[in-house]
Order: sequence, then structure tokens, then C-alpha cells
Amino acid sequence: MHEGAIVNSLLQIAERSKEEAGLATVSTVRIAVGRLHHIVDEVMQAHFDIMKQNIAGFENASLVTETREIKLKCDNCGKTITIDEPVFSCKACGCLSTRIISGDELHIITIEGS
Amino acid sequence: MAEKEIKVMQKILDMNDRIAQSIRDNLSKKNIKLLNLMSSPGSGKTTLIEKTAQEYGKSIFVIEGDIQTTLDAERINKAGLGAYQINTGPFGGDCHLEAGWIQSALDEITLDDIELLFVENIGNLVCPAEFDIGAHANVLVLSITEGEDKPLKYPLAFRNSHLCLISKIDLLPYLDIDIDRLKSNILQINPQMKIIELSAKTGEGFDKWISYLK
Repeated sequence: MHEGAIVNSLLQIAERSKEEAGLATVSTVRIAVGRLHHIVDEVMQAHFDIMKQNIAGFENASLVTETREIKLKCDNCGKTITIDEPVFSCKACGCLSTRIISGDELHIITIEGS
Repeated sequence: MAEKEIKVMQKILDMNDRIAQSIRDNLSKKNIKLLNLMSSPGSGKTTLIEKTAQEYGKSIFVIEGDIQTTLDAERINKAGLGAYQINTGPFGGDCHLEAGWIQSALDEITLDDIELLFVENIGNLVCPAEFDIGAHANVLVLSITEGEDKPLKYPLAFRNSHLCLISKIDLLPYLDIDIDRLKSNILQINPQMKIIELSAKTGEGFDKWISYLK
């Protein structure tokens, strides 16, 4: 259950961004989560709904998660592939040497508010 | 007032990652190598460290991570090594260590004549894999009783590790496990993974592990 720690960190960053932007209230915190992470969105939402109550201006905020697919680029044939299962070899040429170009994201994209 | 959209584009674990990098840099300056041992509960991490102390020598310090009890730190002390116990709290305690925990531990201990610092992370293949704790290498300990499928079920832990120790291989004659399939499952997740098979009971494979540490 590491989602609590992640929500705690994201709220700290979101709070600082809110202050810097001079917003009074935040309506949406939008995050990107790559599928490589073991993160359960329902658990994130549950933590967010509890923790936001203690932060001024976040009481009515919602957490919106954009899931990012795992994409690999093959070092051998150069093709980009999307994987559904944890097999990190290239589907096109079978080569084992691939680089993750998407799917390990865990960041805040934007906050919205007024 | 109209709704505004503010671009943030910041890593959520940015603060953790910065602390982790500073831990890594500070230990590198002192020529101390930090290894993060991750595994399921009961894979034999503490036994591995006890046996490593016999084979490698006493220039090892261990930071023990557990939700509760100081049992592991006591075992490490008995093996002649210094140990610091982190307890993340008995009920609802964190199931992983973060860089901040390690920094707080480092503030409390002295590491004179220490070459190797082991962090025995909390037994769990899910949460610890998410957090950089400042290690120079993540070492995943997988005992052969856990089955061939574990790399496929916990890909992030295997993807984020540099070395996999397959432990308890003295039990091989009693199990149906297909160790070649296990290894191919590991390499499918992480083709760069080094793999060492060993047994802390018989000492088999320890020469390879000790030479990795040196």
C-alpha cells in the first residue's frame, strides 16, 4: 500500500503549485501513471479523498489519472511496440535489447483551479 | 474567477529521488557501496547476510527495515555486524522504505571502516520496487520455493533490480520447480539482470556472490 505515500507527495507538489500560481481553490489534479507501476487507481482515489480534506483549497478537488501504455523501442530494428504483458523483448525481431520510452511515468501534469 | 490550467510536469517522487541521489553521492565519496535487498517475506535475506558476514568479513553494516520487531537486527548483531533497525509502525505501517527513512538512519550511525551497507528492505515485492532509496544496486532475493512465475507477477521489482540471487538452492531435489524456466522468466523482464544461484546453508554459489561484492 504505497499509494498513500504517493498521494502525500503529489499533494505537496500540487499545494506548492497552487501557491505559486496564486489560486484560491483547485478543482482538478491531473496525473500520468505508467502501467509499469503497481498503482491501483481506486486506492489512489480513496487516499486522495481523505488527505485533500486537510489542505486548504483542495477540499473539492478531484484526481484525474491518465494511464500510459508501456512502449518499447527496439535497439536492433528500431520499431516501437506497445506491450500488454511483462515481456520486454521486441515483438517484431525477437531482440531482447529494448528501451522503455513510455509506461514508467509517475508525474503531475497539471492542476486546474481558480 | 475563471478556471486556469497550470502546467506542473513534475515527478511525484521527485523529493524522494533527490534525497536518494544525495545518499548515493555521499556514500560514494566515502567508498561505501549501498545494496538494497528486496524480496518476499521469508526468502532468506537475513540468513544471506549472516552467511555473507562469515565469508566477506565484518566491514558490513546493515539497516533493517521491518514493520515491527527488532528480531532481524538482533540476528545481525549476533553475526558480529552493526545493525540499525527501522520500524515503520505496527498497524498501518509502511510496507516499503523511502529515501527519507534511510537518510534518518544514516544521521544516527557512524560507518567507520565500513565498505558495504546492506539495506534489508521490508519483505514485499510490490511497494519497495517503487522507491529509490539511494542504493548503488538493487539486489532481488528470490527463493526457489516461491515458484517460476514470480518475475511475471512482480515485473517492476525485477525490472528495477541489477542482480537476482536465487536462494535456497539446496532444496532443489525436493521441489518440482523448473529453474531454467524461472531464469528465462527473469531475463524476459530484465535481459541485463545478473543471476546467481546460491544456498546460505551449504555455501554453494557464495564464491560468485562474494566476488560480486568485491
